[in-house]
Amino acid sequence: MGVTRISWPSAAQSFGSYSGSVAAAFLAGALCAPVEAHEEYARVLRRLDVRWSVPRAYGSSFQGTVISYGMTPATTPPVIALLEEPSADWLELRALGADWDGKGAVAVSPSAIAHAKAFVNSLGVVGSTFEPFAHPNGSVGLEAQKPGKEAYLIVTPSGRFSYLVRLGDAVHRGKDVQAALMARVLALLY
Amino acid sequence: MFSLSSIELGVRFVGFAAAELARLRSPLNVKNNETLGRELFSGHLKGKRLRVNAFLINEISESGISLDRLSLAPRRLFSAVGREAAAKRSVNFKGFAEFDCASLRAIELDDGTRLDAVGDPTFENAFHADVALMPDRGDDYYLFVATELKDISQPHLE
Repeated sequence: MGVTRISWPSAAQSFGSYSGSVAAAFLAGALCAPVEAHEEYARVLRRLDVRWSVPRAYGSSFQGTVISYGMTPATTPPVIALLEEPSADWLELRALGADWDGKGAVAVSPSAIAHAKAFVNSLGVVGSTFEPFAHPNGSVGLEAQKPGKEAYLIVTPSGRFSYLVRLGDAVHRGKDVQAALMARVLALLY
Repeated sequence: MFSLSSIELGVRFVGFAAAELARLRSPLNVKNNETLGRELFSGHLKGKRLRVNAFLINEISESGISLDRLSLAPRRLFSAVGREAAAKRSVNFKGFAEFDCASLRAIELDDGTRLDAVGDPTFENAFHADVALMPDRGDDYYLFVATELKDISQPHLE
């Protein structure tokens, strides 16, 4: 596994005699870049299977960023799971008939299942961590958890999303969101 | 036709209500130390892990989250009612997601409201209670409530 260390305090010195102005221009450009550029960068990082480790990012003494890359055990099992057991949970959803909760639930909509599966597949490895569940109104729920974070999505038969993402004690939620925007929200929050 | 379990729950509720009224208290008032339970069916569990949909509702058929006041009558009666409900619908009754009423009342939603439970007797289960929810708030609101309830719950499976 390779490791690249970026030391922010000394980064300016690496630009040689023009260090001050060049570094300032470089950093300003990066910070002012459009959202699309940041997202593209995030996509590239994900493609390279990069894990970020940011020591004390909350503090004022932000000293450096370590980027580790290569094949890691953290991403391999979900990929295998995606290939070997793609449909057990989804089959369970289809098997639930009307009133499956004993309180008037609607049977899970095939259309909602199709939208949810398409969304999960579009997320790649991250999508494989989402488990589907039945919503009593006929929608499909998706649930994923990792340390300090929880994501819950509701996919309606018309393919609209509601979501709730917990980051520690903070809760982010929204409703009536399209799939593309939902993916962006997840990329930012989860 | 009501089952023997429902009838026994009804008789016990009459006795409970009489005792409460004698103390000038409403039998519909749920005390903080009462244990409340949400009936769990097949789709509410992943293995032995509780899913958030145990506390989601279909707004068309429900206006609140149905609960059983488990600490006021023998558990076997509530389980029997749950099994009877499951048998009518070809699903399996799995047990209860349990919490105390004080934990429920400690939940403050992001709109500043707090959850509460109120006794709501039915013919099938006289010790039935409801957590009333605001109508027409969107799936994300009900999802939020459900995750809060899931966090304070412990599944007790049969």
